Amino acid sequence: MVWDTSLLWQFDILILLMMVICAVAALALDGLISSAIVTGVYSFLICLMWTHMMAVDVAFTEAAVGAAISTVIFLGTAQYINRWIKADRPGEQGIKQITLVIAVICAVMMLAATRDLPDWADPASPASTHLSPGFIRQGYHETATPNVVTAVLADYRSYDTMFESVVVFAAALVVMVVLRHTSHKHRKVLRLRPKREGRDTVLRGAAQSIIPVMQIFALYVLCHGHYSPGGGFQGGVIFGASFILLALCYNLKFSMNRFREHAVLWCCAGGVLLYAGIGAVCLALGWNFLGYEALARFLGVTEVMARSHGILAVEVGVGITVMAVMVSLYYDLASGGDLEEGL
Amino acid sequence: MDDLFYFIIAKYNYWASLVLLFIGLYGMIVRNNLMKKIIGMVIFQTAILLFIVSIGVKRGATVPIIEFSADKQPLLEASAYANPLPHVLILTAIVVGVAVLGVALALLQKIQRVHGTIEEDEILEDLRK
Repeated sequence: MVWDTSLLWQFDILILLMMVICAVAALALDGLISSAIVTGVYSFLICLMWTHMMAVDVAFTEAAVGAAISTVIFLGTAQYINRWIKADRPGEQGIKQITLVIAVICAVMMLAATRDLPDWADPASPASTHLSPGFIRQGYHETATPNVVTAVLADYRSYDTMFESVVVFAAALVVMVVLRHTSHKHRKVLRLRPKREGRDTVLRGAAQSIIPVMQIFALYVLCHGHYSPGGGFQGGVIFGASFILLALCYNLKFSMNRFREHAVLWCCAGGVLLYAGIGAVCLALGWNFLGYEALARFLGVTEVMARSHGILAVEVGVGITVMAVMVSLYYDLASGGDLEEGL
Repeated sequence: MDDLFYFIIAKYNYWASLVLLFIGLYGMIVRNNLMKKIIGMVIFQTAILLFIVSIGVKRGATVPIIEFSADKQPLLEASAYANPLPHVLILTAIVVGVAVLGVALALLQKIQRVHGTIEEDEILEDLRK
């Protein structure tokens, strides 16, 4: 057996060890803010791992979502809850030990079962020999999209992606419904928050120069998803992050004056509607729902190019929804629901 | 000795994801604080995602973006590219993961408002009153 040294297993093992340490630390630390930060570090490490496993689209998404947005909404929530956890009661030690024993037994059984899995990075493993070679060989000829991940995401599995964006949209609505009702007592608590004037010159200057670049980069990522890692999810998250950065460096009101909640909600729904609308147009032209070949006559291009353009159109829909949902999650979670003062 | 070395090299990624899985699960069960339970859930989730992406790795393969030869012909050798299907599944799972996290944190804030605490035993005592 010859091992290809290009996979750099030493590097992998180092990252995985650091991930395990971060996971334990995130659960063991007493301060909730520090464990939120450690969770962000954990996300960055797994992002490195994914780059190394050649899953660049996944790494891109994780860097934007896991390391940036998740950490921000964790910190936004931490200002409304008790920041230090209480010591566990002595009576619970027994249950803890029993749980630990059961978890270790299950872990050992599953570790033993990994002997039957195909070797890691084996090109002849079942997962890599049946379905996926077909997508790699035909994907480019059928959709004119070199990035196979984008082609599968927005064309072959486009139903899945559509309902994925519906799930994200529903999550934004749920967060709003849960937090928006503020009782009189709670409003008094919220009034005690420190006022953020947003007068820090260094932060404001940095934000002013970074945000336009971020937004142009987000649009580039969205539109260039056919040829490079990226697409609707990544572009949308980066665009949403630019408004969150604005809210962090100035204050929530400043960001909300530029992107009002009303507009955020319209974008949330509009993106899903654009996606489903393209499917409906294809249906109306006599093809399957989301069968982009139907657009060929309409756009005056070949059927293969029509699929490529269809992918771009639904990616724009996904991007708009994801962007608006990320902003909406931040607005609601960081302000405790009253949209007056943020993180 | 070499056999043992190859055995470790061939499986360590699966082992790491299983260890992370059980760290997350143990944290979810044992920790009393609801925020810690949510962090446990995040770790549990990423462990599963790590496992699924590990399945799609191929030795000597590059990123799943089709490359072109000098005369603009696409190079369509399947063994040259990593398996794209796990990447697609995980990509959407990460975004749905942050949506789930958002809902969980919203419920957490609501629990804090209603019960004044996010420690599980204190919430149960408050409910029994």
